[in-house]
Amino acid sequence: MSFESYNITPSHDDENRPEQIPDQESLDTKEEIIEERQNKTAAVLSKILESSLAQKASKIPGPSAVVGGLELVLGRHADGEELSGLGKITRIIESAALVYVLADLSAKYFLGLDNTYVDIGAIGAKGLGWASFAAQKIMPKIQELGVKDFTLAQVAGLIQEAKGSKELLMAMLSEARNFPSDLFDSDFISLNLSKINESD
Amino acid sequence: MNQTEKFKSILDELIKLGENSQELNFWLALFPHLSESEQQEILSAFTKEFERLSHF
Repeated sequence: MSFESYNITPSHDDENRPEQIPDQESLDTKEEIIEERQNKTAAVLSKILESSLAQKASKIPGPSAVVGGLELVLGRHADGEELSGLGKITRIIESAALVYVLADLSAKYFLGLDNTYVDIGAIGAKGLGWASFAAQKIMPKIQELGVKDFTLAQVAGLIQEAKGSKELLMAMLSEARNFPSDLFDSDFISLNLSKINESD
Repeated sequence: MNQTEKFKSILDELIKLGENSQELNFWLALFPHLSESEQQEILSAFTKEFERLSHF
C-alpha cells in the first residue's frame, strides 16, 4: 500500500516538523552497512599492498624471480645442491614478506593475473583467505612447469601456514613496506648473502 | 584525543554493536602504520559505519 493511499491531511504541527521520509542509508540492513564499510577498507588495504609490491616487483625481472624464490624457500637449487648459508636464508624466508612476494610474483608471471593485489586486499575483510587462493591457483601451474614435487609441498606448506593468521598478515604488510630491496641483486636468484650476514 | 585513540574508541563502539572483533583488532593494529591520508580514509569509513549502525 502506498503512502498516498492513506489520504492523510497534514496537521499544522506536521508542517513544522522536519521531513520524516527516511533516506536510503537508513533503509539498509546491518549486514549491508558492514559490507559497504568492508569494501571501502579493503580497497584501502589493496591500494597499500599494490603500491608497495608493484614497486618491488618492477625491480625483479621475469619468471626467474619465482624460480629463485623457490630456491630460497627450499634452501637449495633446483638441481638439489644446497645453498650456502641455509640457516640464515631460512630465517629470511620465515619473514612472511618473501612468501607473499613469491606468491604474488607467481600469480603475476605464471598465470598472468594482474589483479592479484585486489584479491589479496579483499581478504582483510573477507577472512584472510589469500594463502588458500595462492596455493590453489599457483601450485598446479608451478608443477606443470616442472618444478620438483617436494618444492611444491614445502612452498604450499609455508603458504598454508599463513592462512588465517592475522599476525602474519600484519607482518606481511609491514615487511612489504620495509623489506630491504637491496637485499637482492638485480637478478633475484643472486641473493646477497653478505646483507644477510650483516643482519645477523 | 589523537587519531589512534579516536579510532580505537570508534572500534570499541562498533564491537559493542556486534561488529567482528577479530577484524576490527586487525585494523586497530594496522592503523598506526598507515599514512595520514590512509588513516583518514579508514577512520571515515568506520565512523560512517558507526553512525549508521547506531540507528538500529
